[in-house]
Amino acid sequence: MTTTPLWKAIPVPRGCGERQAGGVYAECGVGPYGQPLERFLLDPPVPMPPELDVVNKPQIWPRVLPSGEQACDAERQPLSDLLIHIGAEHYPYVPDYLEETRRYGVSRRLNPNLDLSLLTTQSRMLLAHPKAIPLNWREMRVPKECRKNLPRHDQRSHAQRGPDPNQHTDRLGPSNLCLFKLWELLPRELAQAEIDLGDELPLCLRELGSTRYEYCPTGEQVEGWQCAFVLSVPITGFALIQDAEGQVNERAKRALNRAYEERGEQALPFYETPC
Amino acid sequence: MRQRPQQALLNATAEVAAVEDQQHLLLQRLQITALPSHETHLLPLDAINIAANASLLRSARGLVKSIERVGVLQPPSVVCLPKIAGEETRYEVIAGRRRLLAARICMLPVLKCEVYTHCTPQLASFLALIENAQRSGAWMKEVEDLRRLIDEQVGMTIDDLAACGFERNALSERLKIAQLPLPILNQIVAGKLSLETARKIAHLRESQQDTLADIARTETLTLDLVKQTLRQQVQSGLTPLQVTFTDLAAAWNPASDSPPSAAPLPASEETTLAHTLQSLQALTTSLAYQNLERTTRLLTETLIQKLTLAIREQEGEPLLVEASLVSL
Repeated sequence: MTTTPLWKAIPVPRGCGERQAGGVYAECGVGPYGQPLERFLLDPPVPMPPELDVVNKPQIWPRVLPSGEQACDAERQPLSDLLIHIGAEHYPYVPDYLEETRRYGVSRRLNPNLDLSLLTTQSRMLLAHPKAIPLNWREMRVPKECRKNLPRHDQRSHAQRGPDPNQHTDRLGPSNLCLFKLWELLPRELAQAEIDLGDELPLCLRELGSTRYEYCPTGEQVEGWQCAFVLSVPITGFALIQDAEGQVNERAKRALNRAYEERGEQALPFYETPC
Repeated sequence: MRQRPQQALLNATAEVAAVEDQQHLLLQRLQITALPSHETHLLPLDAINIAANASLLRSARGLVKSIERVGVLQPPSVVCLPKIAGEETRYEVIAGRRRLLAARICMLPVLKCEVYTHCTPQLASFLALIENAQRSGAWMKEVEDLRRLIDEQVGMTIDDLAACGFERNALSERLKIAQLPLPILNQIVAGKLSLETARKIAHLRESQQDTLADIARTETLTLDLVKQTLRQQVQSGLTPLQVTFTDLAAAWNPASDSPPSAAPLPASEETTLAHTLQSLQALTTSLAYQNLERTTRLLTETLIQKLTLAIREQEGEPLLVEASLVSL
């Protein structure tokens, strides 16, 4: 039997609804000694290889080093990662998903037929969204704040270099695309409430699932989007959702127990829960 | 050794007899005594019974533009129904319902059809299958013809072809295949590669297509080889991503990267934050709160979540979600 995860995602109604009985969910939980969400954000987002199709199909991919070799753990066991596509039908924009994750952790439903034994404590969950990179980002204003404090990503950083960040010639180039621009690109009409701040941009309030968050739209228009990975988190465990009789997906449970027998402490823990 | 003419004739007779046996068996299975004769006629569309559902009608509309421009190039097959005294002859469709529906939408008065004298349900299905089988290789012909249009520099765009009624997505796909290197295209046109394989090759980078083209000069490409090449391409796109989070782990240094607000607060300020949070949470359970306007309530809920996050980051304690928040 595996151990129970130390850290679990918080089981609240999410943008994609509530967890389904019989489902198997990969989690990155919330807990003590954790790190802020910014630690795990990919800024700038990493474009998804166009040949990769993970829409509605989470996939496990081997981790390959730049040399072309398969990455392995200390016991020479190959490492794999879980690739997941965040659908825009439940999370229309990247901030919708990231703000929920910030509050409640990650919980993503998996096909129980995936070989879950390939995932270990060193595996990562890589999450992509179809609206991660605005195609015309080079024509846009630099965002007000980059919460990862990356150099030359936000107006504060550029202000340290010169008087007008929007006319700074060296803002061009892929390394200057900032993930946090996506909050400023949320449409104003997406807000459920708006607070007028006088001369400043309005403060918009958005509600999605159990998440409430604020944003200040600049009104800039996006001419198209590119799908890219925005988040890379460790997997803290799996949640097996019980049905009315308290039963879980037995096949998945057996696979996870088998993984523990094969991998020992490297295997991912799981727990059974009604929700 | 060269076969003598008489021996060749004897062999041919045996082969004919074998074919005749096969045909007889086929006719038995189709519950007919002989293949019905058929002739090409110009029939009024009103005289043809076409059973259609909503999905078929939608599908037929896709043919309207091309029929308006170039007509129906392949005659549908119909069977003559038993004639009722005093009424005009009517026909029923064996194969080509989409074409007939589309022709009707185009308000064509008549259409060239292959008219069978009689038919059974089994024969109708069999003929439809044969027609589909004859068309199953149509995609190869489309690719070949598209390539010819490109090589002849006809200069049509996808918009031009879509205006003739071609389905844009399918056309884009065929176009990608038609532009593959010639050694690969030759194998496609020769029927050595399936549509699935051709699609996968079209997704490869140009350099990998060139590699496959070199292989195709001397051997037939296989689906496994193409899949392997595609997988390598995807993996090479993923590797920078997988390296990125390895770098994240190495570069994370809370002491240097944390924003100033993450520094521990004095105990009194922590208490203030927690107290403020409790007050707001208590507010949400009050009757007065329910009467506040929506903007104020949403602002309060947002503030509760922000304070909760701030306290969590300060104290490093797990977040406990209040029941009232969950039920909102």
